[in-house]
Amino acid sequence: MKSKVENLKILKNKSGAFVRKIWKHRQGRIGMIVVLLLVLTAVFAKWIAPYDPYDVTQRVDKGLSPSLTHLLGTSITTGQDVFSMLIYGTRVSLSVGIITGLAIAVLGSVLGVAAGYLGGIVDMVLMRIVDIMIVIPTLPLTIVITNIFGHSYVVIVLVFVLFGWQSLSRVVRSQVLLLKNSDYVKAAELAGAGKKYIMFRHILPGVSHLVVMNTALTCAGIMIAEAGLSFLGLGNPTAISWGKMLADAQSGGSMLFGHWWTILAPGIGIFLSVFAFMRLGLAIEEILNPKMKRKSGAYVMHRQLNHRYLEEVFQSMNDVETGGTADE
Amino acid sequence: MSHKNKILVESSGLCVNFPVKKDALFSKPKYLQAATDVSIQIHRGETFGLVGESGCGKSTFANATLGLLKPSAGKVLFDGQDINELPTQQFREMRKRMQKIFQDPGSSLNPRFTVFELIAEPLVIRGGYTLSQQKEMVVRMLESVGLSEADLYRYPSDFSGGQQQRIAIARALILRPEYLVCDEPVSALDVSVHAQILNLLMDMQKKMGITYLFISHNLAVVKKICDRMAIMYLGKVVEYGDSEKIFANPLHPYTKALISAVLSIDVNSDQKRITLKGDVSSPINPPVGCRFCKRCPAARADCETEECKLTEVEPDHFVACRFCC
Repeated sequence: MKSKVENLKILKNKSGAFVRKIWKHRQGRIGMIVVLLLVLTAVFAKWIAPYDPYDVTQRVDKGLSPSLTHLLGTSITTGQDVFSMLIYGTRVSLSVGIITGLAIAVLGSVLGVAAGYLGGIVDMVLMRIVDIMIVIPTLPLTIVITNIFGHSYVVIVLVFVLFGWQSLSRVVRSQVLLLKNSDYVKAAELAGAGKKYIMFRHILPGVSHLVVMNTALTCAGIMIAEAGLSFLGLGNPTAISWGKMLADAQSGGSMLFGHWWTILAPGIGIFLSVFAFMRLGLAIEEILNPKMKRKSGAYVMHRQLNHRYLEEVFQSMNDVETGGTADE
Repeated sequence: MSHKNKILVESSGLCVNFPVKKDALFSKPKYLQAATDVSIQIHRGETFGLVGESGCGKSTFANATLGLLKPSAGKVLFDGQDINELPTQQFREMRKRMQKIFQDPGSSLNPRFTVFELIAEPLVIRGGYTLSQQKEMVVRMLESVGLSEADLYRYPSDFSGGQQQRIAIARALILRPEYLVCDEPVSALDVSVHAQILNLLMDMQKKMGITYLFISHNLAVVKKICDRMAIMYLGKVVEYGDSEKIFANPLHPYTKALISAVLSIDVNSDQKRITLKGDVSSPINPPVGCRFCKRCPAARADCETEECKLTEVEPDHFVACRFCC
């Protein structure tokens, strides 16, 4: 019992230190601030937004230009306040992204660890399922499924989860295979550790950076996918989301009337949230992956891409030089 | 000390085979014979050297004595008990008494753990120690391997290879094991720190009376620190016994070739190097007779068909070669 309390304390300290580390990371700080702002906007949308876009009585003239009463004008099709829609839209986009991302993280990592660590028949069955699902074109199938089961929020999240966990579980599995045979797992075994201990103390932390990073990135991806689905008219028709705002603007002919703000506003919303989650994901990867410590993600990626190539170039230049002098 | 009590680890007829991927679905299963018929006795408190080229089964044998690998045939006795027949609970208890130091300290230490967590891990797994007790033990251990309390909350990546190996040693010794496998503990390190680590290991042995199984392909090191030794070739022991006797009087042609390859300080020595021709045969399909016959300078026709068993030529000196016994 006591050790559990101690463990919890350590965990608390560790997660505190983790947040501090993200804060110290430049990119992570940007991501964290923006995500936090978005979350606050979503939670307190009721108080931030000047109008309630769900309230039919608050609708005014259609297609008004921006003014002090309507910061971003009103929509062409329904006459809702665009600024309020933008703020309320955060709720749908963000919650779909985060909920789906977390669900994928849990499902993908559990199945990946199971496949990698248990091996044998479990591994084979799971990986064949992944093989099959990964080649299925997701968007058409999503359209079909939402048409059959309705366009509700739950169905959309479930569909995204169902088709989103495969790549994560595959990545996790390969990392688990690597860790399973690593010397430090053997050393722990020698110290008398059981399977459960190794799984929770060595394997899961070893894949955590993959899971956390992947979650942040899938959140971003799902938000785009949700916007795309809504844009195609396949999202929840009663909910206000950024994708649906784009769809409305498109069908109402915003471009025709020169109402660019009705397109730009949700676009910026989508961009900001995806950008923030990407930053956060990259920052988390750098913090959790000890091999990437103290180097920026862009730098590392650049170096990895260019290092070998540049080395070869320099080598060949050297060869030419020495070869040339030798000839002379 | 009775004779039985003198032996800590004993293997008899130990074979370890690894299944190899089949060529076709219904073809006969093939096995890689990593260790074949290894019978070695390791005495309490000694340093036992295990020498041989890469892939000859040294580490396989060591892992089998630790219970990390299940032998395909034969037995491993630890303190008189067969480790593969013990119930799980008892085996875990026994594991406490054996430890291993890995070749590459960088990979044997979890990079996400602090030094304290790393060294205290065996204590945590065992349970029954409070945090302050753990800390006290870890600090004492750290100091005895030449690191300080200030290093307690740093990560292994902050240390050099030699220091990492010290951490690994501290971790292996914190449960006060009786039997420690050193799997090429210095070959991944700079030459300049070899001596430091070896001296540390020897000091610890003196202090705690540990039995070492020392795997190496550095004969000079083995000559210096080992009391007894075995030389392996392609999964089999070719010569085995007191290391002084082996170095003074190497009998097996392979041992001779190995020892002749050690560089001598004496520039004028007219000692001739024996160069072996050819490659090591495949352990998947080893020669029927003497495993060394294809490369042996003294081989005769019957070497290829008849195997030679280890025979005692003088007290505590065994050789597996028909011409030497």
